Amino acid sequence: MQRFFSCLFFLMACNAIYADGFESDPKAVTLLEQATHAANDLSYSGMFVYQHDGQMDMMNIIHGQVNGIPFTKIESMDGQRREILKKNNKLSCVFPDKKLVQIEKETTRNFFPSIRWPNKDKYIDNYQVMLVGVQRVTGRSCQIVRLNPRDQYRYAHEFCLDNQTQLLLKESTINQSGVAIMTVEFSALNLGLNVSLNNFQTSYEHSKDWLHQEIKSVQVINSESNISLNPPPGFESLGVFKSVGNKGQNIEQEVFSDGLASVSVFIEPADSNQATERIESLKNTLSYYSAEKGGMKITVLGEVPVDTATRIGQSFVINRRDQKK
Amino acid sequence: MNIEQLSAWMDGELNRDLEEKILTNWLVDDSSAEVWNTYHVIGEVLREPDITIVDLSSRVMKAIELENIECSAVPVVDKMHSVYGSWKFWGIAASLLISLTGVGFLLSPPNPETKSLMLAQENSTPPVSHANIDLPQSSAYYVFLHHEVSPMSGFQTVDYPIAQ
Amino acid sequence: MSVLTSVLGAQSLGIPREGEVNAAVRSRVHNGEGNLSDLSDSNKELDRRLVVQAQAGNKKAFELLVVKYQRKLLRLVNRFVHDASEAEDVTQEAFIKAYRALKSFRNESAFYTWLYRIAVNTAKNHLVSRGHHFTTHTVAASEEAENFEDAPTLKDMNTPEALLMSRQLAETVNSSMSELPEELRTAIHLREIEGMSYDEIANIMNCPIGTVRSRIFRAREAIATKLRPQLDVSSDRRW
Repeated sequence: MQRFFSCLFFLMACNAIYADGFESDPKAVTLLEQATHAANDLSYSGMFVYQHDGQMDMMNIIHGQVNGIPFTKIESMDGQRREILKKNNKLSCVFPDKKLVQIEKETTRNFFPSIRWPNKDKYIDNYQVMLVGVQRVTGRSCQIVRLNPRDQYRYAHEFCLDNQTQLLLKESTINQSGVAIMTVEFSALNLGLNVSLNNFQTSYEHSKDWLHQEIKSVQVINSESNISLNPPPGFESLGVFKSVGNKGQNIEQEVFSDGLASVSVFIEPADSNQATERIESLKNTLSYYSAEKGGMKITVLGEVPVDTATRIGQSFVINRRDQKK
Repeated sequence: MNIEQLSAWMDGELNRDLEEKILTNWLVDDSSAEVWNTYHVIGEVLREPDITIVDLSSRVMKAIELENIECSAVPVVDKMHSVYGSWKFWGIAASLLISLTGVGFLLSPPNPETKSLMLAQENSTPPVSHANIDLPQSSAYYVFLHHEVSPMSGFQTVDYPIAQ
Repeated sequence: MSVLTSVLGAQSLGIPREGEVNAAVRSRVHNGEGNLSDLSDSNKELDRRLVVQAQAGNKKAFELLVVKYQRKLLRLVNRFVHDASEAEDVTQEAFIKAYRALKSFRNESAFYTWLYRIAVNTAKNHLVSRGHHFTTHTVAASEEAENFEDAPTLKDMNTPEALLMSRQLAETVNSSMSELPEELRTAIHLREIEGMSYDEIANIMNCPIGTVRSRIFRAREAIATKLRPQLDVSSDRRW
C-alpha cells in the first residue's frame, strides 16, 4: 500500500512538473519525431485546407515513395493555378496561367504534412512540449501535441498527430491571445495507397514547352557586413546568405531560428538617409519590420510576433569598420 | 421510356444514338426523372450509408428559370467574324497598330522575365538568379527569400509571390 | 453485409468463387481519387455529354447533373457550413453559379471536379461573409464537428428526424440487397461499390454484357420498389 501511494505521489509530482512548464513530456517529443518520418515514409493522398487571414485555400496532395525516392505532388484548388512537384529535394512549381515552370534543384521548402526540425534540441529549450488531449481529424483519432512558448517572443503551436501512423493531420499556430492565426488540416485523406511515377507527373502536358526558370539555392558566405544584432534569447544564427536586389544591390540575409520558428534579417544599402520605420503583420503569420539607419536598410521577417521582429530590427548597430561582427 | 436503357445510360453503357433519344424524350416526359433520382439514391446509399437524402433540384431549376439565365456557348470565332466584317474596324485597327508600334520601340522596358534573366547573366559571381523580380522591391520579395532558405518546420505556403 | 462471402454458395449459377472475385476487386486499386464509381471514365464521359447538351441550351440535361450530384455536393459543403439550411442554400447557390458559368467550362477536366471547386469557393465566401470571427469560429466549428462521436459523417447537420430518415433509407436499401438473388446482388455490388464497367463485370461473372445490364437494372428496380414509398414526397420537402 505504501509503495502504491509512493508511486502515485511520484506520478502526480511528474505531472505537476509538466504542468508548471518546466519539463517537456518525452512521449510528446517522441511522437513529434515519429511524425517527421511518417510524412516522408508513408503513402497518402487527400486534400488539405489552409486557413489564414480570413481566407481558406485548398490543396490536393499525393505523396509516396517510388523505388525508395520520396515524391510529392500538390495542386492548388483555389486562386492562381499552381502545381508543385517534388522529387527528393528537387522542386518544380508549375504556373499554367503564366506558362511558367520554376525549378529548385536543392530546395529546403517544406510542405504540409512534413515537419522538419532545423535543430531539435533547440526547440525543446524554447518550447514546452506537451500532450494536451485528443481530437478527431478527417475521421481519424489524433493526439494533440502542443508546443508552449517559454516566453513572449514566439507563438504556440499545436500538432494533431494520427494515433495510428503519427502522420501530421492538423497544425495550428496560435498567438498570445489564444487565437489560431493559421491552421492547416486534412479535410480528406487516403492512406496506404500504391503509387507509381504516373501519380507524380504534371497535369499540364504542354508545360515542357513553357518558360523554365531555375531558382538556384543561395550559397552561404562569410558575412561582410559590420552590423550587430541582438535577437531575443533562444534565437541562434543559422547562417548568412547573399542575394541580389531589384537595383542590383547586394542583400545579406541572416537567418535565426529557435528550433521551430525562423526569422530572416535582410541588410542592404538604404535608398535615403532618412530614419524610417515600418512595422506590420503580413499574411501567413509573418511579421515584418523595416527601418533605415546610417545609410543601411534593415528588414526583419519571420513567423514570430510583431514585437519580436521589432526588437530584432531595433537592436541593429553599425559597427566601426575595424570591429568585425 | 425504356427504363432499362436509362439504367444502362446512367452507367455510361448505352449506345450514343439511344442517348439522343433519351434526352429528347426527357424534354416531353418528366417521369423518368424519378427513376434517375431513385437509382442514384440507391448507389449513394450503398456507398455512403449516412448520406443525407435531399432534393434541391427543383429549387435550383426554379431559381435558374427566375433569373432567366441562358446558357448558350457563343463561339468566339463567330463574334469576331462579325466585327472583322467592318471597314471601320480595319481602319481604326491599322492606325492604332502603326502608332503603338512606333511608340513601343521607343519606350518599352524589357519584359520582366527578360530583365531577370539578364540580371542573372550580368551577375556571374552571385549565386542566385531570382527570376521575375518585382519592381519596386516589395515585401513579397523578402518573403520569397525567407521561404527559400528558412528551414521552417511547420507548413510553408505554396505561394510564390514573385510569380503573382 | 458481405456480398462477396455469399458468392461462395452460388457456384452452381456460374458465379465465380469468392477468392476469384476478391482478386479481381483487389486489382482495382483505390488510388485516392474518391469513389471509383463516380470518377470512372464512362461516368466522366456521360457528364461531359450532359454538359455539352446543357451548354447547347438543354436545361433538362443540367437538371440531370443536379439530381446526380446534389447529395454529394451537400455533403462537401457541410464540411464548412454546419447549419443544415445554410448548407442547402450554399449548395443551391453553387449549382446556380455553375450554370451561369457553364458556357465557359471547357470540358478539359471532369465536370464534378469543376463543380467541386465552385462549391468550395461558394462555401468559403459564405463563411467569410459571416464576419470578423471567421478564423476562430471556423477552427472551433471544425473541432466541434470532429468531436461529434456518434455520427462522424452526419455531424450536427441533420435534425434527429432527418437522421432517422436517412438511417431508415439505408436499412431499406441494405435489406432489399440481402433479399436479392445472388447474381443480381453481385452485379449491383460490383457496379455501385466497386465501380466496375459492364465489361469488367461480365468478365468476372462470366456472362454476356447484356446479361450484366439486365441484372443491374433488375437489382435497381427491385430496390427502388421498396424505396419509392419512402422517397415518394413532393420535391421541395427536405428529408
